[in-house]
Amino acid sequence: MERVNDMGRTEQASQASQSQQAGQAQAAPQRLHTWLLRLYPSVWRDRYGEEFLALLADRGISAFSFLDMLDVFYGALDARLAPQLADTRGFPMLNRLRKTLIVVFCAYILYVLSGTGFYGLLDDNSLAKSSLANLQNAVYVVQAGAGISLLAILIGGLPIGFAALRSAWSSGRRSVLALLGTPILAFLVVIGSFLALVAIEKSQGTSVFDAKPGQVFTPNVAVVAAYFTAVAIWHLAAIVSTAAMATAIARSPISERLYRFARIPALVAALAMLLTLGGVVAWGIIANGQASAQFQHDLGFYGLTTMTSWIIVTVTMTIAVLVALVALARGGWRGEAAAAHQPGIASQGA
Amino acid sequence: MDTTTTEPLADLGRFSDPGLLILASLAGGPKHGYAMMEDIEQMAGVRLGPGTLYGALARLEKRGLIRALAAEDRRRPYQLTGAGAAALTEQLTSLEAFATTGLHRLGAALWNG
Repeated sequence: MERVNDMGRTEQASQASQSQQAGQAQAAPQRLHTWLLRLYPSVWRDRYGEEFLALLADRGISAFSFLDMLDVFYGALDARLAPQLADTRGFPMLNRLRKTLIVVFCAYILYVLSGTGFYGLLDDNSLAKSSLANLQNAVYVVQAGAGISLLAILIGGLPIGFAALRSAWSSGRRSVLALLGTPILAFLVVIGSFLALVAIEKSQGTSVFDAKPGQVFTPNVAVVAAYFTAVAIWHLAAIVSTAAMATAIARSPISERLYRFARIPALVAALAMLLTLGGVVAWGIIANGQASAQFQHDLGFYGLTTMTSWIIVTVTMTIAVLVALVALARGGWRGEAAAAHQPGIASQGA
Repeated sequence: MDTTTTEPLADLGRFSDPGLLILASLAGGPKHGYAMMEDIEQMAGVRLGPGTLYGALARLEKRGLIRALAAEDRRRPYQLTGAGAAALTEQLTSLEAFATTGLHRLGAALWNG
């Protein structure tokens, strides 16, 4: 009797194992289908997702070829590039404002990166110590633009950042909290990488691009490697932090009132960025005209000449300024009159 | 609000041929995605991929040439609209005229040659 029970248990265990294997075999294609569906925009998934999954399930995994998978990739790309469904969720004006301000913020970070490049260019540059009054005036213009834009970004951005933080904290959304904490973590990593650079410079007894007048400059490999690693980390940290902040803001229910308020500081910031760009351009033109030998041959940043460094700064800053101004012109105020007639928009709160 | 447009099927671009196949399939009655794929393969020997099928379905629906019916157990059938039937008739008539002319010329060439 006991043996029969044992056999029964073995049979049950075998059936359970087979059933589990069958379940796992079914779960794998389902996971693949769900993953493929995720390639499509959310508005498309809302409309066609269920029936699309049903279609893939009906086809069965054996009939689902590699070409079918490529076809789904292409279909998802098409749905993103040529959307046939209008995103009617949420409020169009709110979405446009949010998108505009996020773009301005991203442009501002690009401007900050190019601005730090300009200060890197001036660092230890003989032109920075030049007695040419016009050069100094151009630097004052750059500094004024940098100060005003920073202030404007803080005035417009901090209330939005605090609203996102408060909302994430009160609703316990850890993913948004993690996104908001990313810039702090990134900052610590950057500090760590530059402290490591200083330690390596100290141990090697030389600093990067440590060219003494009258001596042939021979770069120390360890120091140069540490320097470029730190620079790469700094740029990567800026990109990751910006993406994290932008995603956190996009995922947070923030009052349209705050976005509307932030438009003015955003415009001021963009104009101040334009002022900075004017200062940078003027500085290069003056330097090239009045101290061309130094401008064309002295070291700028990353071992490049001052002129090459200046061109890089000017181009990246121009892109940043244009992106910010175009975003504001296209999305900052457009459609406000129509939105004002939609009930309930202004009352949506954080 | 009438969302029907008068854009011809050719405006579907790369999806014009799949669009025509879908309309022809739905001319036989409402079908959901998988049934359409099977029907098209049987009818025309063309196997539409899932991405292409839904790319074309979305375009046809937006242009008011087909309409979605109530879902049945996750599967949503689609039906030809009046505009869709008109567009299909126009396309098939044009193809028929083209085929007749081509066959006529081919016959004449074989007769003469």
